Amino acid sequence: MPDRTLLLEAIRTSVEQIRAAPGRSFLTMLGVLIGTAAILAVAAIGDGAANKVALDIQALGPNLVTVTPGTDQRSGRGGPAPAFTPWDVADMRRAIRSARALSAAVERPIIASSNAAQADTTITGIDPSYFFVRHRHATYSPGFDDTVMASTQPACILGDTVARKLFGDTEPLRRTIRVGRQSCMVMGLLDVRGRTTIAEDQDDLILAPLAFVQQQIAGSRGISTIYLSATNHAAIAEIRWFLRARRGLRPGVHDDFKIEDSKDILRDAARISDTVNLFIVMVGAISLVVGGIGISNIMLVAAAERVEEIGLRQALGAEQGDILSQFVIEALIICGAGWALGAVAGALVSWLFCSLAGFPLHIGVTLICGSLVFALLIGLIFGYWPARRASSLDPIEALRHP
Amino acid sequence: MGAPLLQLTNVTKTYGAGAAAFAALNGVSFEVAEREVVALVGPSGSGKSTLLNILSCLDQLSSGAYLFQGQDMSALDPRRRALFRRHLLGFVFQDFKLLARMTAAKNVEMPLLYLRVDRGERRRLALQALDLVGLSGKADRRPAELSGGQRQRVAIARALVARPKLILADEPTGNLDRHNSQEVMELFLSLRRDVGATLLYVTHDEHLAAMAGRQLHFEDGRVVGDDAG
Repeated sequence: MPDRTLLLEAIRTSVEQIRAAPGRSFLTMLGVLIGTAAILAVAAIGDGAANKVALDIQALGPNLVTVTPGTDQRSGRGGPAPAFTPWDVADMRRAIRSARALSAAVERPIIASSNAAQADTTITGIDPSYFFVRHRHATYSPGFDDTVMASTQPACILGDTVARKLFGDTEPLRRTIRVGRQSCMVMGLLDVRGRTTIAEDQDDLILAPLAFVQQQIAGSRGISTIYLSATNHAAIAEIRWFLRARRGLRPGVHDDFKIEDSKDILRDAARISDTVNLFIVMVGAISLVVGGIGISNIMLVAAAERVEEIGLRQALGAEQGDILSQFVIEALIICGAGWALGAVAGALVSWLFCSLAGFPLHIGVTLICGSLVFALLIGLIFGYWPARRASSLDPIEALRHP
Repeated sequence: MGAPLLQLTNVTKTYGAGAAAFAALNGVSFEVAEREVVALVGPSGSGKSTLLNILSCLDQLSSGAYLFQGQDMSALDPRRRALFRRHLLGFVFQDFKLLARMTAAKNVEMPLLYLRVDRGERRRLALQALDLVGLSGKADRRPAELSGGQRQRVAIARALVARPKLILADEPTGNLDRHNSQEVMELFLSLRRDVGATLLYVTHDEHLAAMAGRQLHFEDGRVVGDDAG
């Protein structure tokens, strides 16, 4: 290793070299710049997406378990499976020990209309525990609260998207809307959630009392979804065994219902972005390697241009190691500068993307340091060989060089 | 005159092998005392430059012995040869060999760099050396902004700045006109005296050769005359 005097001098020389030919230096840095920017942006955006997924899970209720009837595509039986009955729900409420709360719901697609507008949405019949289990809450017209959902009243709660479609900027509360062939009064407004990572609008729905939806809209007492707030991981197995027994499924027969926790729902989104991430990181890594080859090339040119200087330095008492380290340091500085520009570019791209996609932006210290180390490693690997060549020049030949 | 600083015994330097072998030095023997000034004269190809390369350990001799302060220089490894040049040697080249992108002061500082002298001290010593060669106001000029004579003065300042024991100069004024040559050479010799360095310089110019205390005449890789002037 060179000592401080030589190190500083090598750094100064490198900066001089870069400033003497800014265009060439920039082109040399470009590979490292692009590679760093790509890797940084992908990692930051991937991180943002993961955080968004985590936030979504949190918003759905971290312990939310959703049970729906229906056979798996792989199952031999096929066809729609019977809905759950109110008795299933009542017995589950007693039997499932790992559920803190349980809520039955029936969901139907519906056209809703006000005097002014129409909305293609869904209506979900719920019971009061829905709000606790789904981590949502509603603002009611005076005199009303969650218990209205236990009644048979034609009352409803609008999600923000539906409210806007039907009423624009006017006040929806206490107004009457039509849902299918029924009328109902808007008694509350649901809190605003926005879209999930998989772009599902969490505000595009109407909530109404379960009994009202069953009787007036679905025309049956069937339950299409059971939501549970689980206290532990055993919940899924417990629900599964309960339902298999309840539905009389013999061993070997596939489940005719589906149990998902909130992580399952969002896992697909994460999986897609993992694939894309891997691809872009590979592109970034390739770009860095190509950048490294560029650095090798430019260091060879730099050494060829400075043959006489190398000879002179040898005559003045430079050891092979002094020359070697000087050129390696130059390669490192070019890589470091490329990294710095790339980091800024990557941060800008991440910021732009995350603010457009609504992801929380976070660029970690590990990411910054990791990418720097990687860029410097490229400089070291690709700068070493040209430096080695420069340092092993024959001083007499080098001095004779014009 | 004092103890010999360097001593060459039957030194040969052969390039190539077999029938194509060419002896650039063919049995050269002489001694140089400390503080002596020796002019190396002779036609081109007579072995003067090869001798400088051997003396500076940039090249290695083929046979014979080269002792510097009693030490056998042919046995040194590359690192020690670099250390020898760093600590004991100064160079002046015919074509100056100043780095165009550096200021005069930075060029003069270069030998100090490898002696690990820190920045402030390097600058101070370089300015002092430039002052001695009469370029005190030109420290921050680049070589392109200096005349030939001024450039060679910068090169002389660089050769002296680390106060070497031995200075080797290869036609130090070869690129200068007659008037400039004389002036630069006089300056060089007087500064060398102040530093107390031994000086060996190659020249074609009889007049310049006569300024040395001693002339070694070379022909076909041999010393053919050794005149104390």
